[in-house]
Amino acid sequence: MPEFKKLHILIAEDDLDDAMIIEGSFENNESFESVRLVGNGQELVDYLNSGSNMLPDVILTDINMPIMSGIEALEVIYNSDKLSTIPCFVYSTSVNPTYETQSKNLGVKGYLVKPNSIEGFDQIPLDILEFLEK
Amino acid sequence: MEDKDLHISRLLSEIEDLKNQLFDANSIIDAIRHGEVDALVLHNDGGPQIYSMESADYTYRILIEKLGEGALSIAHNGLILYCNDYFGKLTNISCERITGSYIVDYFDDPAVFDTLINNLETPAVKQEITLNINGKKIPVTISLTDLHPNVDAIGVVVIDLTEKKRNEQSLLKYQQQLEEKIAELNITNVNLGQFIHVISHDLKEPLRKILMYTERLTDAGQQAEMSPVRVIRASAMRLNSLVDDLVKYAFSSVKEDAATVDLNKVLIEVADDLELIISEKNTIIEYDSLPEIIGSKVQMRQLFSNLISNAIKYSKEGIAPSIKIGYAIATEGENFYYKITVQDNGIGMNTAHLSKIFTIFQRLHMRNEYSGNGIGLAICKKIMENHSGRIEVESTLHEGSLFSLYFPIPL
Repeated sequence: MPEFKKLHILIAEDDLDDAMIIEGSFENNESFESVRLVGNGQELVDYLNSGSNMLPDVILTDINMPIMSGIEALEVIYNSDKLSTIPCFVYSTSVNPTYETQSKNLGVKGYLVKPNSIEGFDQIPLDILEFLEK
Repeated sequence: MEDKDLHISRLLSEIEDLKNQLFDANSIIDAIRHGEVDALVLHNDGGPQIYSMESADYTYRILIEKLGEGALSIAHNGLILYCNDYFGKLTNISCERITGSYIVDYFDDPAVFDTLINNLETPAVKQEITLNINGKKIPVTISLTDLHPNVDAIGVVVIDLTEKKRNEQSLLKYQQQLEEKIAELNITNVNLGQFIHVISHDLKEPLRKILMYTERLTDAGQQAEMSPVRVIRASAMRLNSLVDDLVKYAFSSVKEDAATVDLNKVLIEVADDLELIISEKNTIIEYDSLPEIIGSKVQMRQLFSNLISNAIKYSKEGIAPSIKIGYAIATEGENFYYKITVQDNGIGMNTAHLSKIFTIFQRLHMRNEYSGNGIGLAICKKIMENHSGRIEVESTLHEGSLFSLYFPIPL
């Protein structure tokens, strides 16, 4: 990633506590210019498909969410010519190997496990940047 | 006097006629005795018609008579000229009574006879039909062969299918039972998947929150070891790692879609995952070129990850762990296996404890000596079972352990 370009990230997270913390972590990281939050997979897809919204540079999604899960939303994204080029990341509480395999098979750039400490969330923007540089 | 002479000459000619008839009858009886006659049909006009095998060969005759299938010869109108013992037994009617009756009378559907006769020109006409002997239905294969021009008759072979049909039915029944079992197993697999989902997410989510927010609690004024927050946090951490391990354990029973898995690639990935602990202890890993197996890649990664991290964890203090991964083909009777061995130079185990190590939550060490929940090898065992294989261990205390994995080679 060229350093002068600041990134727009779109995050799907249904848990309000986590949403607040992850939003803070990205806002505190100077590589990211804007953070946009949606509440589930359906809202994520709707946001991306709405013509009036600017497409994000990066997508981060939780897996277990009501209405539409992160995996289902990723299936929609990777099947769309317009959206499939956006790098996507998954983060989840779940250590279920099935989710990791499913995500990787779909083509996500990285599968992150939700940290057990609030400070741990600050690591997520760093991990994403590292993956993007690869 | 003339009358008398006439009378005498009439009687003499009558005697001559009777002598001739007697000769005919005797010849027929002789012919029957010698097996030269198949059937004798008396027509209404009184004249007998004889059906016999031309060049009747005794061996063939006996062969047909003792054949383990029904054999008949019939005229083109279906009249039975000959019937062997087996057909008599099959129908439970004596051969004497069958001969001279019409074959169509034994068919469940009389129309079948016309079909058979009309298709006689086709070589080796065979058809599955049902006989109906006084209400008892017998499934058979019937085949007709026109013996013309050698003999003016049709050869009929009747093969009893009762046993075969019965076998087919029980096979069908077994297949049905099998399909039911498969359906049950699929449901179990789905339930297992849901269970894994529940523990991996729904149970973990509140735990993670406890961990995150207890970290924010301060417990001023308490001595470090007594700190209630520290105990809460340590317990929550332990519960969290138990839940993680339980997910992995439950997942090791899931039948994933089988694919070809290159174990060399698996090892490279595992070494990459474990890079930190491998380099931390200056671990040396040597390995043979490994085969491809059919199975779950995720589970293979889990399997080798557990074995290698165990070998590093239970290494001797101050000695760099050395892990050798070997490969050979093993045979047991008629079964062939890929045998993969993982050998370490670690602390080893007392042989008395070896039977316990594959049991879930069994540990050989105090928690403060070595961390862990005692689940890693139980997962390995489950994964091997899930791949129709097995895991074995040999160990010498203070010298190291040797784990052997047996993957059956598909024929």
